[in-house]
Amino acid sequence: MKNINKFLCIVLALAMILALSACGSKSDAKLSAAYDKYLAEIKANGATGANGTLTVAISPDFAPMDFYDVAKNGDDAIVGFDVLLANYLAQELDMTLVLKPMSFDACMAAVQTGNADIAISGFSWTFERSQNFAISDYYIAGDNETEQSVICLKENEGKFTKAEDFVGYKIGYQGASLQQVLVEETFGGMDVDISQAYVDLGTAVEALKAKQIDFLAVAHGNGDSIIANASDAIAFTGFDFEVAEIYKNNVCLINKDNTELLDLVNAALNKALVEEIYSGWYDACKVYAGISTLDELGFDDEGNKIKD
Amino acid sequence: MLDIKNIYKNFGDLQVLKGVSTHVDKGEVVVIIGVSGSGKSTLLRCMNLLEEPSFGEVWMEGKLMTPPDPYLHWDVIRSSKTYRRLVSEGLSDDEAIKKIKAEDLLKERHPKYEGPEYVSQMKKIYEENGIDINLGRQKMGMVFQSFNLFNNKTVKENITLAPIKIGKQRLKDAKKRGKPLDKTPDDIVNEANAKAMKLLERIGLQDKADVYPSTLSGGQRQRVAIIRALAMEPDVMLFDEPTSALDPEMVGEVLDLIRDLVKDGMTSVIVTHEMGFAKEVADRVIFMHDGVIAEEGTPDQVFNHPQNPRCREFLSKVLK
Amino acid sequence: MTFFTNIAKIMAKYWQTFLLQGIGYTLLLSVIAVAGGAFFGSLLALAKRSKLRILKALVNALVEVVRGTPVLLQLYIGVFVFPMLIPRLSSLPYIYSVSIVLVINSSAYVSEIIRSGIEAVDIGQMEAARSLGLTQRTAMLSIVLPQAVKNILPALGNEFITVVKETSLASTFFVGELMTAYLKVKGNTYLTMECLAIVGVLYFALTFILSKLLKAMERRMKARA
Repeated sequence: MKNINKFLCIVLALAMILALSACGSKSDAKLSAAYDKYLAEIKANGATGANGTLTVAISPDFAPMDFYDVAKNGDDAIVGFDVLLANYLAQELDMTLVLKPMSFDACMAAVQTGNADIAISGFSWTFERSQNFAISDYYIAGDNETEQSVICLKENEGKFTKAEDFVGYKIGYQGASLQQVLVEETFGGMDVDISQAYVDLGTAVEALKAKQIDFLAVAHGNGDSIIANASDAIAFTGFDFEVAEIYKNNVCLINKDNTELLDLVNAALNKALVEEIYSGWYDACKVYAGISTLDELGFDDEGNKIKD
Repeated sequence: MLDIKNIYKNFGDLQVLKGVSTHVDKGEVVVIIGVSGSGKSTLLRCMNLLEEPSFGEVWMEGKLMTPPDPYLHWDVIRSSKTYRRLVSEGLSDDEAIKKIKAEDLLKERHPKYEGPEYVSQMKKIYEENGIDINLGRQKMGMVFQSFNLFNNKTVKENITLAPIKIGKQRLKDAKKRGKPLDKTPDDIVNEANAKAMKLLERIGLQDKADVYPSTLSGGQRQRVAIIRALAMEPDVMLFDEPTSALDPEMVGEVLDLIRDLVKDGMTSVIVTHEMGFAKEVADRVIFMHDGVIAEEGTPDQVFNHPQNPRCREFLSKVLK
Repeated sequence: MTFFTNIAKIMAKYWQTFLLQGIGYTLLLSVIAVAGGAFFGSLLALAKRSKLRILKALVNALVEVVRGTPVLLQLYIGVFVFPMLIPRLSSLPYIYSVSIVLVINSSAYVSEIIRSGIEAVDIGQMEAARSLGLTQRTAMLSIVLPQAVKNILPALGNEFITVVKETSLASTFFVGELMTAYLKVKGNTYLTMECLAIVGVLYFALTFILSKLLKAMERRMKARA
């Protein structure tokens, strides 16, 4: 009898959580308005998929480049800048798009083993990657890569603006990322503790909150996302890295043997760059991810860009 | 009734039985004694093939339960290539056979090596005399030192399980052969249950029919184990130290039951350390030592006038 | 306090991701792994008792390899190598390959559980059955296995709970279970600890309820025998 009571308690508690959560959820339809518009435009190109499928490895845990819209189902639920780009490439190449979500590391393994044709997941160019993959020409995802910043706890907001200000402090970063390269290049010769790498950005943010590190190097766009969810605790320091041209942009990874696809992808990317096809995408994704409002970035409620 | 021919049993490098031959006649009670490790339990277990003999044959009521042992059949030896080779080298028939037996020259693992005639001879022996091992075992009841009642069955189920399973199988087989028996499966269950209750009454445990063995005392368990074997209506009973695992106050009830059976004329082979009991019930006593029968005879011969020094030594220790 | 308001906010927006999708897929994967594991594990256990030496050696090798390598590595192999062997797999979602790997993994452990469960039954039980003239098969089915099941079930329950937790590794391929839900929501919100706390509570609730159910089952089994 006692046990049945216990079970009832647990079931009731779960039911209450469900009920409360259900009350609290509200529609996010508006946030995706601009994004949906861009996606529809891309798809209106009318590709027939005559050239087979384009299998894309993507790591959707990195808003606003790659993330999940939990209100949607299946492949549609994976959204973000890279998804728009993947759709664009599929249209240009006249192929059917298949998204394969997996962890960042697995993306690279998928391309190497031929399980995915291409990895599009906010990859930066690095020397090691260039040795193991055919790397596409670059694409520009807003300020996500061009601006590389350092975030800190709220009380230090705006106080650290020069590299010398960081002497004697500990600065963290995501391992094997562009930020690691930048931190090492910038602070390598100085008395700055750069010993701590993190497996993902979320963990690094927790370390910052727990004061295990004083600063965290991030791409500006990710910084926006982080601060949007913790504006009372975290802020930008005011310091931005000097980013060499080669790091500024994102690239796609393709299997070394697949030069044919590389050529096609490069042609499509160059066309997009020249014709400024993706100029509004990044902002739309920021809105979608809840980082900025439509109004702030100059969209009307239907997702039309009305001012810059 | 039960014929044991030249049994050898090896466990790895350890030779436990080194050529044991004996026979048990109908109605005869044979008691096997000897020190621990002398091979007496192994011999008993070889009789119903719980241990498979390394060499030798076990015959039950004129049927061969083991594979034929070529060394026991001179015709088979004479049909082998090895024999023919030895004879062509100038050995006489007798010398060749002796040499082959003594040096274990037959290539048993590769019977084809010995030629088609040899293979067909072996086959012929088995076809003429061989019997399914399970059929042979059904004619032998076995009682274990540690009872081995089925823990997941009630006392009654312990007794009826084998008769019901095997009875139903016989029904099926008979039907398949086109000679159906005049019985239904329900008849078999009812018969088995009735017999089980009768047997339980015989040992005064009818009120324990539906309990699990774990609730019984050691003596009760061993008595149930004995009637479980009896339920199959065996022609011979094999007892493997039936009282060794019992508390002293319970030995008596088990021995009384065995004594009863023996009086009724049940053919029995008993391995035991109870020398008084052995003297009392045995028609013949076998003393095992180091894997061979060292002394064999009537209780009077073995207990009162032992010839073998090992046997004398053993008896002086256990009979004080 | 912000910690708890954050959790409330996350749950308000993402409750379906955690409670429906996350728990749903975690349970689905666990049930597939344990049911498949029980079935194929029994076959492997049979193969281990087989007289065919080659079969025995193959099964033993499989079990050793599965037990001796991390599940994550097995998942990578399943997802990236299996499709090379079975082309049909490459057009299916990763959850198929992941399920196959989890079933193989679970089969190996279950086969060991069954083997040791059978070996733990006193050999005298088998000998007594054979001495009555029952066939090996009948003796196994009516005497040894029913007793082995009593040893096997509790261990199988533990395996189930282990599998529930092991499914979390499948999140590497975003198959949708609880840890994937964590990755998705963390990727959107960057609120790592809050998301971890949510899935932590949910995993605990799942395994706790499971182990209570298993205990109740065990008690009933004991009461019957």
